[in-house]
Amino acid sequence: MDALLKLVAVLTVLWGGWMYFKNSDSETELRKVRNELKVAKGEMGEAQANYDAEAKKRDALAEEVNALKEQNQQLEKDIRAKIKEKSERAVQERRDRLAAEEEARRERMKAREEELAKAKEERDAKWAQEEEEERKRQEEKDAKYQEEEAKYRAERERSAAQWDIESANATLRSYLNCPAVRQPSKLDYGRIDVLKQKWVLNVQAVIDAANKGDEKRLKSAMKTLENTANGLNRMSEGGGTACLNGATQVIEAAKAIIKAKKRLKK
Amino acid sequence: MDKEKIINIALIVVILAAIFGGRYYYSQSTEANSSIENVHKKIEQIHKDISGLKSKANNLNIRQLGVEKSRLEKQQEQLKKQLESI
Repeated sequence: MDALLKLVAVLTVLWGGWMYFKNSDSETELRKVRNELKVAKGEMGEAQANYDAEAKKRDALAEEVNALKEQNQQLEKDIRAKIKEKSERAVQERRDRLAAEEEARRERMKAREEELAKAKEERDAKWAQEEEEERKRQEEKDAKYQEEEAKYRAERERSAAQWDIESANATLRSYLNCPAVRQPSKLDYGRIDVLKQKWVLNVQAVIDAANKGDEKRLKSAMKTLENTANGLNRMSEGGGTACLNGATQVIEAAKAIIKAKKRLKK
Repeated sequence: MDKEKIINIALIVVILAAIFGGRYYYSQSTEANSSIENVHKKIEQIHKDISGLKSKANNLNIRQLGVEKSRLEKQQEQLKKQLESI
């Protein structure tokens, strides 16, 4: 019993001691890992600080990059604006230059038109003067021509009338001898001779009256001549046809002379 | 009281003291081991976090931004020259 108690006491003491040492080791290990935890936390803080620094650096760089981008965009905008302004200025200058050239061209055209108008006016005036002179010359020429033509016509008319008169006179003179008549059956030659002489006198009277233009006498003479011709025809019992025809011819010739003389008077 | 009894009582006391003491230290040791395990887990987590932070730091593309900044500075110089030349 005593021995068992002792054995139990020894065993329990050993177990207790073992537990003590085991706890001691655990405590040591715990301190060790807690130190490691401190170290790890320190590393963690350092890593966090490094990360924060890097992030700050990155943010700063990003801000600089963004600022540079904005500045470059502004510069590009300025360049575009300047190019546009330059282009617009060039366009405006070109428009102004073209407008000035157009104005100068218009001035030249205007001066040229005025010059042409003046030249045309002078030419028209010259032409009008020349036409007027030509017209006057033509009028003078026409007048001269008409005058000459009138003279010529008058001369021709006068010549024709003169010729008609001469022709009619020749006709009349050809009837100064009485045309032959058939001898009548009755013996009355004495009266026929008397009528023949009367014929000659009548024809002479007609010639005188016609050439003098005395129509009254001519009318009377023609009537007498007709009577004489009828008398001859009656005396020759229808054989004085030549006398009748001759009287007609004489009357016609006398009328022609009167007509020609009227034409000569015109 | 005889000597044996006293010794026996002393032994019993020792035994009891050893039992209570061993039990106390046992529980302390168990608790310490549990804490050690937790601390190990925390350390492991911290190491993972450190790796994550390093990885994030590497992914910040600082070098790329530096290159971009240099390129933009050169571009700005060219743009300024171009603007002056217009």
